[in-house]
Amino acid sequence: MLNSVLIVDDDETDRHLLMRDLTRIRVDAPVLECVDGDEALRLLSRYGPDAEESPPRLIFLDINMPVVDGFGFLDAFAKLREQRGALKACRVLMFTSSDLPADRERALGFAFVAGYLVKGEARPGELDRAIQGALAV
Amino acid sequence: MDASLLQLLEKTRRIGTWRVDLKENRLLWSDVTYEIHEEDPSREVTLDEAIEYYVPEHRSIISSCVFAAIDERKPWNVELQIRTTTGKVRWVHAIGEPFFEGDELVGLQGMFEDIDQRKRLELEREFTLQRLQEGERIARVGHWRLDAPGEVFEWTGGMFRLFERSGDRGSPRFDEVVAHVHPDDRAGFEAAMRGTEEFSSEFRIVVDGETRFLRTEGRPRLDDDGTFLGFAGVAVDDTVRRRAQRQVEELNRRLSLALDASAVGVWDWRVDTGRLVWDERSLALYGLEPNEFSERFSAWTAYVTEPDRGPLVDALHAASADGSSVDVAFTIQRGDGAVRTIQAIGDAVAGSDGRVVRMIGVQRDVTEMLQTQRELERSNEELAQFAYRTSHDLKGPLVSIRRLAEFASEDLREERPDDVLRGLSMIEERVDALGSKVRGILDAARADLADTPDEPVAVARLVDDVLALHAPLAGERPVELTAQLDGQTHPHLPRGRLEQILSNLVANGVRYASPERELSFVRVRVSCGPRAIELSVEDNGAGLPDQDPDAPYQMFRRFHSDRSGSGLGLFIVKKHVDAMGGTITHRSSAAGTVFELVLPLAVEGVPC
Repeated sequence: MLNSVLIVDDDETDRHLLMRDLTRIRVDAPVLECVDGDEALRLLSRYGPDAEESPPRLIFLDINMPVVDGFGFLDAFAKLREQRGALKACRVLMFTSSDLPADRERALGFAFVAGYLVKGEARPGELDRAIQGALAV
Repeated sequence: MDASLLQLLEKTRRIGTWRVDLKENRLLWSDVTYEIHEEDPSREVTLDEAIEYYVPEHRSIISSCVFAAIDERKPWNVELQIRTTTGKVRWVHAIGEPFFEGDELVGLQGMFEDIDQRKRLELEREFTLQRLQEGERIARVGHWRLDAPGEVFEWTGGMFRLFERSGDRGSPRFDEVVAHVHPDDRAGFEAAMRGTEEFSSEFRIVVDGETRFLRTEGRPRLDDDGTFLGFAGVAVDDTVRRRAQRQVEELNRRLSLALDASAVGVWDWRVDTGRLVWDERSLALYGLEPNEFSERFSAWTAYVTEPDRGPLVDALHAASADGSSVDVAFTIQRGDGAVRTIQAIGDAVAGSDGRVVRMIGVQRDVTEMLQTQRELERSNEELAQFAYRTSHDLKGPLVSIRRLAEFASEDLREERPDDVLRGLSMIEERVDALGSKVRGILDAARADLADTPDEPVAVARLVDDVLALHAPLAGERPVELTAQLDGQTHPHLPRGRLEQILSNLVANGVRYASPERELSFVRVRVSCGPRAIELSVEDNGAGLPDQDPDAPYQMFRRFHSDRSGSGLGLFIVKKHVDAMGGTITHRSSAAGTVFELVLPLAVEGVPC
């Protein structure tokens, strides 16, 4: 079952829009928000062996962000997963305005990245299918 | 006339006499007349036969002469050709007259002169003159004579043509010719013509405002005693050759200048002997003096570094083997250690037997050109990325505005007025952000335009204006804005660029002020030197992450999630600094950030 969702995006409006879409497709899990990759990594590194809660199963990740961008996050998260077993269950869905094929290919190169959605183009149905796909893995 | 005297005259001038007696219908010839006709003197010639001696085309002439003479009772006098019995054609002077007894025509008498030699000489002379004139015309030559002490020239047609003087006006006076001579050549012309020595000089003449070069030769004419009589000479129009020569010289000079300017060296490889000749420009490309090059093919390739040496040698040998061309670029290490890239282009030259005997070509240093090309490629790539990033970054806010509007109407339908208001306020924010992004993109595009002229800029006023522009926002935070100026000058700078640089840096300082400070500040310092202005903008704000020093100047690069920003400010600043040939560096720590710029001045500063 979906325990919680993390949205990593520096754009407040985009976070707001995504949350409304999630509500519309009846994803009612609690939503955590981070404004860049660095903040997200700090949040996720708290889920050690002694943590009371399990980390969010689903992470929506933007690419173009200040400080640590989407790819910076993916690189660091790949290492963090090796140290924190609890994070192995996390799946990442890219949620970005970049439609560059190079970006798509690079992101999907990470085993834990389950989908690539382009902001504004992904309709709620597509979002729903991507979530089902990510959770089924 | 006394018969013996007549015979003497006949012998001296070969004049024969004849007489026709119409009563007896007989023709009587003198000895010389027989001789002229090469006829046997014992044979009596009839009147009809006598006419037959004339060449066919002249027979009607003599007939009509005779009939006219009889009608009008007057003599005839013509020069005609006859054919002798041996078949020789010769000119004769025929004179004759009819004689009458009362009204009755009783006979004709006359004389015959062999003028063949004179006539032939005359004709030959005429022909020679024609040829001379034709030759003068074609060769643009004229002949002239001047008697000593002569005031009038004697000219052939060619001279008239050279001076474009009408033949009707006759040969010119000495002073008329002098007036045509170019003023700078007059003294020399007069000295030569007034002297007695043979000369060969070039004089310029001016005809119809056009200058012509006349190569003129004069030979003294002497009488048998060696007394100087004057000059006979020839003048040749040398203008065409002089012009051609000037053009060749000009072309050579231009080729040389072009080779110098483009630093293109020439090489000439004698394939059969292996000798390699380089001009001084080729030597200069390799940093060599003329005596430092052995003129061996191997001496060339020794400067070529690996891995280019093998392919160069192969390409040259292949081209020389099949007579083709070569165009190769390779890296060399010069004598002074400098590493350069050289491009060599050459063609094979075949000998008379079709075998390639040499290759001739040029070479030039393309190091900077390749570098420029790479920079251009990089710049194009940046442009393509800029276009992608701008369209993408403009699309983002538009997409979210559309979605926010969809949600707002949904909220309106489902009667959630608070959510409608919230959505509308988000739309407003996004529109503002979009506007600022568009402005940033425009500024960045403008920064690339080069047509911002240098002008004297009152720096103090410019700094005040920029600070005043940012004062309202600075007052909200609050951030203290101060400026310090040294060296009061009006430096020559592109005002717009300086303004943009300063404005972006101050805006960043205000935007990223740290809320944790008791007192936030942005300090501008400008120091105007004679050759450069130094500018620093210091703040005690949030600071930049310690990473790649070029990162902050990249397009759409942002470092702060908690502040809005287009990510274009420092990108624009860097573009302006580059366009001005200046430098920008920064130091950043938890205490704040300092940007330091040096902007060179094209014109030295003018003190106020």
